[in-house]
Amino acid sequence: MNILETFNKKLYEPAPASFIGWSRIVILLILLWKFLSRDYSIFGLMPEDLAIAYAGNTFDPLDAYVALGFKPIVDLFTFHWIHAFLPFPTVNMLYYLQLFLEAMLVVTLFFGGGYKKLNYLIIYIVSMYLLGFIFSMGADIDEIFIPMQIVLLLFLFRGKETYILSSNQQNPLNYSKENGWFFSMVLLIFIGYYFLCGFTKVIDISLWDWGRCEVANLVELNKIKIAVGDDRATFFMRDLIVGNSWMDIPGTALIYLEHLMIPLLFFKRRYIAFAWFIYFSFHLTSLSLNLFFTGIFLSWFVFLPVHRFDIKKLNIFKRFKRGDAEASPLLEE
Amino acid sequence: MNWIRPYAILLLCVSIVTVILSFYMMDFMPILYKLYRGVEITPDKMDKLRIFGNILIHDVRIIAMFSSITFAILLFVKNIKQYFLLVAIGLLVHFLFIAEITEYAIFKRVYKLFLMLPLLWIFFDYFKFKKENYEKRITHGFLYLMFVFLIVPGLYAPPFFSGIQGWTIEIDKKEPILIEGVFLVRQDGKEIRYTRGITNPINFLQRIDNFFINKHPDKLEALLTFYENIYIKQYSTLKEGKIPSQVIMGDFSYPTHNPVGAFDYSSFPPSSIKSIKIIRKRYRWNRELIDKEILASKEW
Repeated sequence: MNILETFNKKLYEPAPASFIGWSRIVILLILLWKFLSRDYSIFGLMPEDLAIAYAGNTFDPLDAYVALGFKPIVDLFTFHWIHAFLPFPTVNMLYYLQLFLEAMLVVTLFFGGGYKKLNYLIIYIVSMYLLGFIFSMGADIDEIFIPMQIVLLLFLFRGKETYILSSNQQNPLNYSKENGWFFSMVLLIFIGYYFLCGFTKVIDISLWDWGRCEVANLVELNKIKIAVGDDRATFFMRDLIVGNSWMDIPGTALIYLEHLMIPLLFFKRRYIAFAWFIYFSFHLTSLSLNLFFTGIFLSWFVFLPVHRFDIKKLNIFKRFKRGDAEASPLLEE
Repeated sequence: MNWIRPYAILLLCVSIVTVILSFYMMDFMPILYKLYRGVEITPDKMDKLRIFGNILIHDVRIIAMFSSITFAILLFVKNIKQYFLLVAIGLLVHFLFIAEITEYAIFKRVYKLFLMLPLLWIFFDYFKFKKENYEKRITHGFLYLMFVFLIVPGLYAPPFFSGIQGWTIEIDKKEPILIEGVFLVRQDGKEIRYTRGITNPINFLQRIDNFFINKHPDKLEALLTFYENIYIKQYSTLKEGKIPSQVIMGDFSYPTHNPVGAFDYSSFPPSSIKSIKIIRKRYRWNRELIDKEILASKEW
């Protein structure tokens, strides 16, 4: 069997419907938490002629990081092209728009995507519009892109949902190819995100540069900056890193290698927990550099095998119903 | 694969022309400077521009010569298998040697773009979007999109982008430590840091400040007025020792991308502020202040 046949087989490898419900809950909760903790109405205070600090303009073009992050491209994807027809929003307009989004997130959390999953499309458009004020500056990129891609996938998914307050849903323990496709696509979103980051480590820097990342010294520098009045926060994580320069090369190389090898996860899914552990440690360690990728860090929770809880729940229910100590052995698997 | 030969010839010609043009590149540097900064270069900055220009020319020449060799070999490629082999070898040699002796990512990514561009057609041809079912079309569309982002340098279309660079951080402890940011100055002269926590969700204030300082100094006053208005709007939260992201969820709010330290604004009500400034301070590693430069200032 060649790699393409294996890919197609894996793409439809049956998965439990619980994954759809659980990933829906995780992603919507992340977004709800984020929007409840942010005030996008401040952009109503911004004069329109200040809204020019696009990523393509603010980053050094020689770094090529987001060199094509110019207004026409970014506005197209963040729905800010609407300002060509409508005036720049006021504080109140943005406040109510954010409130509407939060309400939509709550409703969708309980009742699902609704007719043709349009709720997810609305959430995607409004979120992208509000986040677009930040995305246009090239910020929040590595923080919330994965959740947003999953929201889009939830809209595109044609199967029934789970864990919603509606009779029109699947049994969480229903294994199907369609559910398997959804699982594979979520996995591909993670793989795409990390692999692209890994590939840049091969193009932008050489193998010898892999050992030129003085994290420990940088952490020490950050510590001094805080002492002289910088606005970074203090973390215990920082003290674990300072002075431990020996961690620089193996730590960086391990992450780069994981980035590059992550496509294998699509074929060897039993290693998801291992990959999760490495990235969990990586994102926690980044706290020492005063960076926290909350959205992506929490998005990994979609892979929590919640169907096992459903199986246990069902077994307990069956035992209770039958008065029988032995539940179906099939369900124990 | 008939089209690969003209493609190779075209890129070979472009690479050779680039090498030739690089000998005249220093003449174009002031023009490039004006295009990027929007202002003519002043004589006191010419030396810096010359040093920078020499690095650019070095990079352009190395990459263009490496491209010439790669695309000369591409002329002899007969099938997809050989092309894949050339891509793999090209990337490996680049990773091991070329990336090491060049500095700027943009030239490396442009080499990757031209080396891998034919793959876009090969994969498009392979996927044959119209013949697939709904799910496969989405999967292949997604993979194709990822591939476009992999190849096109610096492509940025939220929520997709081409990945962050590698980290090559070398700290020279003899160099001064820079602290740059917005400060509020009270009428009695006391100052406090205006943190990114106040403007959250805007996180990278320094990046925005530098953009306006370097490229749109005429809009600096409007920028500082914007910061001022945010401070006035959020002050009721700030005086309680919270940042605006903590209004609803308190200590359990979604963390800011760059966690912010605690600053006490209770004694800095908007009515007591005299001015708002963007300041650059330089310190030694022993925390001794070297100097302080005011980059922008506005009366409150």
